[in-house]
Amino acid sequence: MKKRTQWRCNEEQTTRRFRHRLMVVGVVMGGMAAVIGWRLVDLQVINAAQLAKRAERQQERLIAMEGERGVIYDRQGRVLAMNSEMPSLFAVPSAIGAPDTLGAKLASVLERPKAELVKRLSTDRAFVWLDRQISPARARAALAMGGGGVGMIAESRRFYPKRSLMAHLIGFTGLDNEGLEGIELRYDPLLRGERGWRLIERDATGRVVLSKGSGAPKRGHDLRLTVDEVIQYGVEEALDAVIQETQASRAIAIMMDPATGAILAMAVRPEFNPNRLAGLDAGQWRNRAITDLYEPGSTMKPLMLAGALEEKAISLDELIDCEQGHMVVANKPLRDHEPFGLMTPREIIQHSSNIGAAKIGMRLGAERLHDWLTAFGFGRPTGIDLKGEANGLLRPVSQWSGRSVASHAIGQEIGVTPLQLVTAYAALANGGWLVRPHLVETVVSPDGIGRPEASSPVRRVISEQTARQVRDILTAVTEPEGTGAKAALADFRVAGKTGTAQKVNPDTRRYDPQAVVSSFIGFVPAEAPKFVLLVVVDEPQGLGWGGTVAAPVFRQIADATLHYMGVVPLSPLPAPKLVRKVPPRPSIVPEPSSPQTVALRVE
Amino acid sequence: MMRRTRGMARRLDPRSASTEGERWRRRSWWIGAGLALAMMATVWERSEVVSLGYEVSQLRTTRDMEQQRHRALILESSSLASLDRIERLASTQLGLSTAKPGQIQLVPERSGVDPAAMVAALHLRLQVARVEGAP
Repeated sequence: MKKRTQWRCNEEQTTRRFRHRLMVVGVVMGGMAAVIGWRLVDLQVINAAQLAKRAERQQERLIAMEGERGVIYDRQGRVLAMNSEMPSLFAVPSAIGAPDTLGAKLASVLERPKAELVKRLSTDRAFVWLDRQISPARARAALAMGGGGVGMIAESRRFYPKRSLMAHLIGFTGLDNEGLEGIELRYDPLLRGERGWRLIERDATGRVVLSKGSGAPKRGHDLRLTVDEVIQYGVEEALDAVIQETQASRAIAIMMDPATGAILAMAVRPEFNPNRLAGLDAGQWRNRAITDLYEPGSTMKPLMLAGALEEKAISLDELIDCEQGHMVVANKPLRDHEPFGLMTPREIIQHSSNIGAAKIGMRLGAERLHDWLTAFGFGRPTGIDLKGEANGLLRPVSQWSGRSVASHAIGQEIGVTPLQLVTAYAALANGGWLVRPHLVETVVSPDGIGRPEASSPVRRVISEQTARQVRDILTAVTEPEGTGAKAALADFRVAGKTGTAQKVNPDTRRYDPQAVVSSFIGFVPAEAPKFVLLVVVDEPQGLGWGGTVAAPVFRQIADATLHYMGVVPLSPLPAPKLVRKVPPRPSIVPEPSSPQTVALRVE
Repeated sequence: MMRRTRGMARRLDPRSASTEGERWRRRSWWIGAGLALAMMATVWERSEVVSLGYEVSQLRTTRDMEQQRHRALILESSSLASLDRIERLASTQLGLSTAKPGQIQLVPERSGVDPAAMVAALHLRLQVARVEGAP
């Protein structure tokens, strides 16, 4: 009984203790549940909005996407400039333990100065570039030794697969794909795409889980140029050859379709590779065909003659006394390269007589000569679609001296760009119209719709009859007696003019007989010109006559281009004709009817 | 009055109370199952979205890589077709040389055409270009 009572007492104690413990556990659990509950309310209700925003910031990321830069093609659709992705290396300096050691390692891989890299790695900035747009192999090697502090980003880089071909014309872009020179600069707003964005959600490992919205980047417009790669290559090859042969300091050539003003080729030597700009200065990539002025010399004479014919200041059968090669103008001598007697305007151009040209210019007078030079486009930009075009130098008549009329008539005291001269000659070739030179034929929008570039209206400079007359005269220059005989082609009649202009020595401020600019400008076939071509060779060594240095280059380029264009002779070259022979060195001015001077011969 | 009395009787009847509880349990079970199903559907949908997101992201990366490769191939092809390279290969490996002027014979196809007519055609071309190009 006693035992039973004791057992019952123990049971009650155990039950009470158990209840007590249960109560304690219940209170603890309840307390914990209350804390968790309170935390849940805090997270889900009280601070819900703020925390949701913070989570979004951690998980979401707005990515800016560059619109791809447009492609540049030649007139046949060959790629001249295009973008491709290249790796760029960056570093997070705070994550790098030993900048000195890492800098030394990276310097050998990236081929950059160690001091520069160490300086970048030691900075307190959150992000620094180590090297941009480098080869993938080099980037991989640098990443392998960089550890966690070095990263890589793919950046879009401009490539020029034809290397130096057309480099002065196309120009180049900077590291951030902004146009810096040439077509790249002029058409930058069109070529450059529009930036886009994408909002992404990332997981804990940084992988993209969702794209929560985007504004698609817009690709830039493509450009189709008027320039032809094959023609350009032929032009550049010929310039390289003449520079090598004559040791000239520079050479320039421009080819233009006279009917439309489309530039078919534009080359400047020495060249540069737009893919490797490091170490180059601005002078090397300047497009001298539109920026540099030179005195055109005798190539100005046909333009002056066109003005005189248009004004009827002279007739084609008139004889002009060329003073046996020596004349005094404003107390200074004016000489010809050889003594000439009486000559027609045709012969003056054919033999490039300075005195004859000066006399024709004097017939026009200062005002009218200035007006005609202005009408041909000198003294102001041609309006080509490139930036940085020079105005040229054509002083107002009020600043002319007593000799200026004669000087302008023979292409001195006037500064022109090669492009201005080509544009003026295009007017002779196309029947009297001044055209606007242009390089872009079509702008193609990202959706593939091509829009021809609008060219400004042309204006008539001279009548068709005058243009034809001057064209006929210019064909005499490439005949065997002419100064440009070496520009003649076997199958086509060439109309053109030589030019040999002395350069002014900046020290003495006088013409330097040793430094000349040799040039030849012409068009072919003379009857229906396909192109106007100017070749300028600056400071050739030795005998630097335009007819001996530049004319053969013209012939080489013109011959290859006509073949490439598939141009065939319109008709067999004209039969030999009777021409008036110019006496070589007559001692006195002979009578026109004298049998000695009007000797006819068959060519 | 009759209806009220019957209702009270049903509440007092232990069998009737058991049926009511059973019904309530069943209803709760169905509601719970429905809720669980809805939750599972939500989770499944979220999981599908995440999975598709990964897939889209992967496909986008692949597309970008292929586009990049396409651009690189165009550039490479354009670079390989450079005329200086072709000329170098033609002269050094194939022994070819540029044709001299005398080696090319041009055949006049239109020898009967009047040059003046061609000049007129040129002028016409110029006029057309002018009209088309006028702003």
